[in-house]
Amino acid sequence: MRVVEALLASLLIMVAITFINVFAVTPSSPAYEASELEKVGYNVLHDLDEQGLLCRFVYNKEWENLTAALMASLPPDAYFNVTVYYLNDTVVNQGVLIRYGDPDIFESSDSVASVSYIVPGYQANYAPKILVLQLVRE
Amino acid sequence: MRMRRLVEQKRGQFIVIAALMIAIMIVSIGAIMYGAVTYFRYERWEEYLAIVDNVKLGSSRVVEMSLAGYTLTLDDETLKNNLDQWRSNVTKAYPGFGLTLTYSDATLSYYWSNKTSFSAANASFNLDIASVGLTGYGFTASASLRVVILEYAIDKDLKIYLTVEKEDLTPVTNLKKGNFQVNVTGYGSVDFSVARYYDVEYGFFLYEISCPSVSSQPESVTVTVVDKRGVKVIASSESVIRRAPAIIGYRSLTGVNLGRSPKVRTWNGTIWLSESELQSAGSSVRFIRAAYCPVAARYYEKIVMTLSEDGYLDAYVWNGTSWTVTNNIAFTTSTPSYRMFDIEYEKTSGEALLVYPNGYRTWNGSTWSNEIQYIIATPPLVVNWIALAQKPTSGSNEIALIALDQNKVVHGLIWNGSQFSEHIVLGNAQSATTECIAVAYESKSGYATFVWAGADKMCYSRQWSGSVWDSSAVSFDLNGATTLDVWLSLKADPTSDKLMLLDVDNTMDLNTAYWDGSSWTVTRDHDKDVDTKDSRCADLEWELSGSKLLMVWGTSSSKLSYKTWTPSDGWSSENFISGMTGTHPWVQLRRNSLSTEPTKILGATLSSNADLGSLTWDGTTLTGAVDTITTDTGTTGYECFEIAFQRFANPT
Repeated sequence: MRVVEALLASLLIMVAITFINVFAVTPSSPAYEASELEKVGYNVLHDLDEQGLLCRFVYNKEWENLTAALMASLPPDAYFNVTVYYLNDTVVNQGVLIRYGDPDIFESSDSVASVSYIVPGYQANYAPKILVLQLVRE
Repeated sequence: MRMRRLVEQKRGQFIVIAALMIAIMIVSIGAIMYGAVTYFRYERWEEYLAIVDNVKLGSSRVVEMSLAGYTLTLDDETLKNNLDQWRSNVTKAYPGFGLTLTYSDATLSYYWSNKTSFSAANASFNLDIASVGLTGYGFTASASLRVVILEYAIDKDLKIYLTVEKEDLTPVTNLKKGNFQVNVTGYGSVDFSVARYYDVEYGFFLYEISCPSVSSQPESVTVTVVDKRGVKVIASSESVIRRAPAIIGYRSLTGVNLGRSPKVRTWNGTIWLSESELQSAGSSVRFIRAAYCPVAARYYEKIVMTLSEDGYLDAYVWNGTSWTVTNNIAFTTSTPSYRMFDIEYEKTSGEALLVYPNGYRTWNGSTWSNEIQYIIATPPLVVNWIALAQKPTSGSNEIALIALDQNKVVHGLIWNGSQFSEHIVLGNAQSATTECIAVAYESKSGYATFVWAGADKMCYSRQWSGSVWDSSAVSFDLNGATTLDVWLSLKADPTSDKLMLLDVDNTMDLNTAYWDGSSWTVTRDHDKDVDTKDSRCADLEWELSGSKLLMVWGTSSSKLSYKTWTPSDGWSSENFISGMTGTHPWVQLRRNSLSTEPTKILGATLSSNADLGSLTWDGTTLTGAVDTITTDTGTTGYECFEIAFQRFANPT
């Protein structure tokens, strides 16, 4: 009689634990990936900005230097695509790709991180521009 | 009993109930944790933090670029206009976040054209992000650039030392030549090179700007710095004046040893300081000479030589901390009536040469050499007057000597740094009892020019080129060939080959002759009745710039007259200073070694009352004080004083 009751009690606890685990988010999930890439992407842009490089690259249109700086700063397995916008949403780097990696991966991947970053100007010229950095793992 | 049985019979049911409750707790806790995690996960905390950081850094950038714009245009509205746009743009850049940025206390300022100059901007911000409930997040953004000119000085060429710092006094170390502009008074915008290094002496990072085209100490320098952010600062320095003191050695009947001890005073750039009594020379001092070391490493070293009634020379050397005396370093003749010695430093080695009638000694910075016997006149004769001149050209150790012996024969000699050579009899003078000889070097060519007053009422000059003597002397008529020239003083323009010769003749006329590098031009009778013909009651001196010469002479009781001469305008009209009690048998002028000093020329004058007074020339005004140095030299018969300027400024 008590054995049956003990089994029943154990079953109840196991069902509860199983129920909880259904909602657990593992580090390998797409949501986790995107969040981490956003952090990395933002930190890289912030560091470049603090060094005064980001403004220089953007306002002097040194796109190759910007690409090289991002490649050097981001993890090797992170692909990126940068688009620079004026505040009226027109693209600054029109016709120039600031990209590393296969373009298709940004279409196919289900964990693309996107970071927006505003730079106000360069030296004495106030002329804000917005960078949108898309990131995806290989 | 009934109850106890019931419990005993249903014990298993309690286990199930307990397990059910635990299961419910697990599920409940899990649900709560899930809710919390989900909230933090999907509320985009990372993104909010990123936005806050982005807005903070962007705001700092706006303040920086506003400061850069302000320093270019000096438009006070620059910061306000940019911040107004920024707060609007930042809201548009992050739509949907409910972002509101406000600012206050936005200020721009600059303080330029000073030794320490800066540009600065500052603003306080408040950030609200409605979507996350963030309100009242405050931060401050500031930007500044500070430039400090530590010093500037001539070290072969002009060197300017400065520091550049940004906000929080962080050194700015990434500037290059293109970030600087240099403007030097008297030169305008000049070319330069920039070096940057950590200076142990100053204890921080500094920039050294070298301007090779500037060879003399300018009155001021202006450095414009534009940093990598575009922020500009203009720093100027005209107050970095490093004093070059002067000394006067003189005789006075003061102190413990009265006239037996020479006295010294130091000119601190503004006034003569208090008297110091040196050790006794053994008998009353008659003549004094003073000289400063021309080597920078021993900039402080000075020598005061005395010739006393007992005929002995005594040497006093200041080693930077104290005077050391070498008594009776040489003997001349008993009760000497004429200045039969002189002392001069070699320009490059810094070795001093002391010459007297029968020999010489050298001073190497620490000891005097043994006496080297050297007879100037042949057959041996007492030499009444000796004068030395240092060759001023770079790298030279040559010294020229002119001497007048008892037989009125004028001798020329060249000291080549180790020995005398090239002795020549220059001619016959009109007298052996007055200093009617003089020698000076042309500053650029380095030609030594010897002048003497001939017995035929003419004056003569002859040059030593550095390797040969002129084939013959040049004669010129200083006084109109009506009388003898009795006292001469010859001074060289420090910037050219010009010379100016002063003459007090036997009828007490004051005459001058200007040497343009190839010939003499005489100006007679500046004054036809100077104070005396028995001593040199007049002197002249060039300013360091070479653009002006000052001549001062005693002409009547309580009055000293003066004139200036410039290459463009020649001699000025006569001016005078009054209140200088008595007549003035001795007048002496010496040039300041630093162009930055307000006092261009210092002088001293010994009056008929035995007062030793001072003269200061600031370039336009001559100021005299009747007895600043001493009220009683105890004699007026000898030139018992001399002024010498330190060759280098005191280190800062």
